[in-house]
Amino acid sequence: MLRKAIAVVIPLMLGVLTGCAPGTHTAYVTLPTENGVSAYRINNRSGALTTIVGSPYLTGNSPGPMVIDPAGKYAYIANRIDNTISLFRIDSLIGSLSEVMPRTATGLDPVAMVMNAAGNLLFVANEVSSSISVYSINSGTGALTLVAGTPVSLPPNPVALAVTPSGNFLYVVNSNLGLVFAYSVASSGALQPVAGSPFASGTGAFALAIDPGGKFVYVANSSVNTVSILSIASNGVLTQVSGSPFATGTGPVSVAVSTTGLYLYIANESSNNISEYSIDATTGFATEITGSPLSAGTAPSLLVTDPDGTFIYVVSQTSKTITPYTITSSTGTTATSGAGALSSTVQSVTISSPAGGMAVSK
Amino acid sequence: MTRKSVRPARLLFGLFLFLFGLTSAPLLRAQEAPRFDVFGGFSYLRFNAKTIGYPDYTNLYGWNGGAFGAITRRFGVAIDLSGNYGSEMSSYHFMIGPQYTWRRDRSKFFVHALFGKAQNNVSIVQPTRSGFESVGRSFGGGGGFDYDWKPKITIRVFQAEFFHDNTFGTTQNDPRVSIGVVYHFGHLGHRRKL
Repeated sequence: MLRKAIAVVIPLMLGVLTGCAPGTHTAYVTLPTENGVSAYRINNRSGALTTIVGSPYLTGNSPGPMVIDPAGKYAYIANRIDNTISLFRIDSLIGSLSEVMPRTATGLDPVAMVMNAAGNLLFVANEVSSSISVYSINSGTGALTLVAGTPVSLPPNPVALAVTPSGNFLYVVNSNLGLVFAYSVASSGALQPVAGSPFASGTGAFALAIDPGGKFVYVANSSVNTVSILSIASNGVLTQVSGSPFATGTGPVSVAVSTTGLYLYIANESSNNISEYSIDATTGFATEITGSPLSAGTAPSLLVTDPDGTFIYVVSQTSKTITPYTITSSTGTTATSGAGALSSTVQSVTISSPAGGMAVSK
Repeated sequence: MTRKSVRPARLLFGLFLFLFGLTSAPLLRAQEAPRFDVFGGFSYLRFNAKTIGYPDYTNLYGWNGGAFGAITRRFGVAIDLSGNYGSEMSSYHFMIGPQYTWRRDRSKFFVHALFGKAQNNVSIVQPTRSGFESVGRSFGGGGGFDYDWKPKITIRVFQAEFFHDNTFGTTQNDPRVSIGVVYHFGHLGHRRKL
């Protein structure tokens, strides 16, 4: 009797013990009024978010933009009132954040940050001191060191920046002037203005995105409700493409290009919706997808794509929600009819206060 | 878990002892079974860590201890305590509940319903703290199989439960399995020959 029971129980226990954790992503949202950052686990299948235990974690004063290194080991959050950058170690198992002191000084009001694809340079736009700071990143510790020759001064109100996938060029949007400033980036991180820079965009230029191929820059002009499309030459020079700028909803404030480079999404903060476009891979021109625009809570202001290109996350500031949208899949390398449209099948996550920034780990 | 939050479990235990003392005495001579069992052994808990942001379930290993007091030959009250540990996480259960036992020769099958508290801890080092813990209500049910080895010692071949915990502001459904040794004290009725 005893032997029979053991023969049944041991295999059962071994069966229960098996099981491995699939690779999943984590998402983080900074909360400026709470001096914290909320962390979420992303469900790979549905895109649903689950709050990570202990979240929100403490940050500096008024955390805003956030970036995560390509290895997913470190996160950087700019504290806009402290004028510092907080370095966080990301727990490899849980995804929780733990700040590594000391914080790194920036210019006044670090409003935007971006990291190059290699993960060795961090670019920071300082809105009040009107400058761009560049930091080299220690691959072992994640620590930041200001690159010699930076910060680089700009006309007042740089509000957003983006770096090409190659890491060779940096583009900075100036809201007051409606211009895009272009810089070539040396391997050391030193910046050199591109010939002909700055380039015209539109009034109230507020956000920008670069396609994964590094061929086009998309700039949201929030005051005139348009998006400008600029092609990137091999020397970094920008040229408006034919048909640019094109009309969007009211108050475009965030731009995201899908990881496939086939689709463009724009958050229209004042019309409370998301505009969806397919991208012509050759010309860069965007054509609105049937069903666009899509309602997206109240005051959608942040769009973030997940690394797998399956989901788009929309942060709506007034309704204080994060909503995952699934990107209708497309086959091949060109945009196809009906693909690229967003749909939401899972519940939004409520955030306790308006967000300052969002990032998704690779 | 704070010390204050453990008190309900202690109060339940005290209440159990009081009620057991009142109800068990008249029945002692009428039955033929151990009066008390004390159990200790190894346990495995599959913690539903996905509910608190982990990428998957977490395997926790540890101890399981408990006691059983027979009121009649088949009914009694079980106390169940366990501690399970894993990477950056631990889980404790402090449970009590009714148990039904069915005996045949040297074998004993039992089922029980358990109610109590769960204390779950996650070790996440933060500048101001070393981790997070949460204490919440827990209930569950399960059973097991014992096989007599010596007059006072029984092998618990298996014990399995399913717990429903309310911690960290969410709920976890966690299966637990245990094995171990049971020691008997006293008897209800005549001692059985092995």
